[in-house]
Amino acid sequence: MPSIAEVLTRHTDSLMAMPGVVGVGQGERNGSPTVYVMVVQLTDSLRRALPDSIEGYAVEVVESGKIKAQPE
Amino acid sequence: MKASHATGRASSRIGLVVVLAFAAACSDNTGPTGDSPSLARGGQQGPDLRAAIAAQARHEKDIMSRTGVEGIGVGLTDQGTAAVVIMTTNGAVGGLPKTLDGVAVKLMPTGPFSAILPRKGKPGGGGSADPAGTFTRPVPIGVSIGNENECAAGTLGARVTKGGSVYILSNNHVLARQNAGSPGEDILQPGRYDTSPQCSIPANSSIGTLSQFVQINFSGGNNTVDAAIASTTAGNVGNATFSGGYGQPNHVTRSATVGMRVQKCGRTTACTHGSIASINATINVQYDGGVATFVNQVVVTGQRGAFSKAGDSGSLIVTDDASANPVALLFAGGQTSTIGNPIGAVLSALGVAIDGK
Repeated sequence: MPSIAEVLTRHTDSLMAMPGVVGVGQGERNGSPTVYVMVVQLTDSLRRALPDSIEGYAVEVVESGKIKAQPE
Repeated sequence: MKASHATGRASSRIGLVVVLAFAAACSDNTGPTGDSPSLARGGQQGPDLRAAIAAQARHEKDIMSRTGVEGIGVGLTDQGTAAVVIMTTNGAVGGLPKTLDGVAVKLMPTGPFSAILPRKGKPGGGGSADPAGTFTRPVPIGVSIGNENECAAGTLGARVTKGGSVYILSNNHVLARQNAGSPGEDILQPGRYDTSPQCSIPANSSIGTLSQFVQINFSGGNNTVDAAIASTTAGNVGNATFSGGYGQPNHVTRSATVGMRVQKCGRTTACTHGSIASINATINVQYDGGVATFVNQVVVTGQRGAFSKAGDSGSLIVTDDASANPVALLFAGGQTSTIGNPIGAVLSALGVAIDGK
C-alpha cells in the first residue's frame, strides 16, 4: 500500500478541482490515516463524486464552510 | 437545546463525521472504564456504520425528546465497533436503552451546546481581560493589534527574537495589509477596529513598526505562510498571555500530529482548546484580495464551538499542556475549522525564534 503522503500527492489536485472542495489533507480514524476532505457544503453532487476510499485510505468528508482569512 | 436539536436533525452522514472527529479528540479520557484509547487500534478501515445510522434515524426523535439528552449521532464504542452515540447533559440518563435495534449505545457526557456569542466587555474591566481592549505596557500576547493604515483588528501572536532584537509575530494580513504594507508603518494596540470611537487612532497606541513580511501569492502559486514581524521592545510587548491564558509559550516548537490537543489565546474568542484534525492539508483561502492556495497546513477543530473567529488571525497555536510548545500560526477558518501555518515554516521564513520559556 502506498503511503498517505504519496496518495495525497497524487490525488490532491483532482480533489481540489471538484467544485465545493476547499481543502484536502491527512486525517486519522481508528488509528489509521485518512484522506481528509473539507467541503463548503456536502451537496448531493459532491456526495456522488467523492469516493469512499482512495488507494486503500478512507475518505473523511467534513463540512467546513468557506475558509476565510480571519481579520476583523 | 435548540443547537442540539439542530445537530440531531442534520443528515446522518454529517452527524457521522462530526461525531467521529469528536470521539477521536476525546478518546483518551472519555472511556467510562479508562481503557486504552481506541485510536491505538490498528484497523485498516472503520467498521460498517450503516446499521447504526439506520438505528439513529429510527429512534432519534424519541431519544432527543428525553430530558438530559443533548444530541445523538453515530460513532464508535471503546472497542471500535459501531455505536449510536447519545450526548448527555451530565452523565447517565435514566431509561436509555443499552442497544437500539441491536446496535450498541454509547453515552457521551458533553454538557449542553450553545451558540457562541460575541465577547462583550469593557477594556480593563474587572474579571478576566478582554483581549480586544487596551492594555498597559508591556502588552500581553493574544491581544488586539492592527496596522495604522486600516480599520481592522487581528491578534498579537507572540514575541520573537532575531539577532538580539525583539519583534511582534502575526500574519501578513494583520501587520502588512495583505502585501500592501511598507516597513516602518505603525502597529497599534488595540487595532483600529477596537478603538473608541471606532477606527480612531488614540495617542501613543503604537507598540511597534512593520519590519518584514512574506508575500502572499494570489496568482495560483502555492503559499505556506501568512506571516509578518514588527519591530518592538520588551517594554512595549511582553511574552506571556493575558490572565486566564497559557502564560509564556515554549521556545521549543513541535510539529502537528493528528489528534494532538492544542490551545490558543486570541483577540475574539480569547483562549480556546481544540485538536488537530488534519495535517499536510492543501487549502483554498478567501481574502479580500482574492483566493490564495496554502499547502502543508494544519487544520484544528474546536473542543466546544469554534476554535477561532474573525479577529483571531495571528494567534499562536500551542500544545494544550504545561509546556505550551508552539505548533502553528492561526490565519484562517470556516464554520467548524481553523487553519494554521506550521510554525517551523513561519519561523524559518522570517529568521526568528519564539521568545518564550
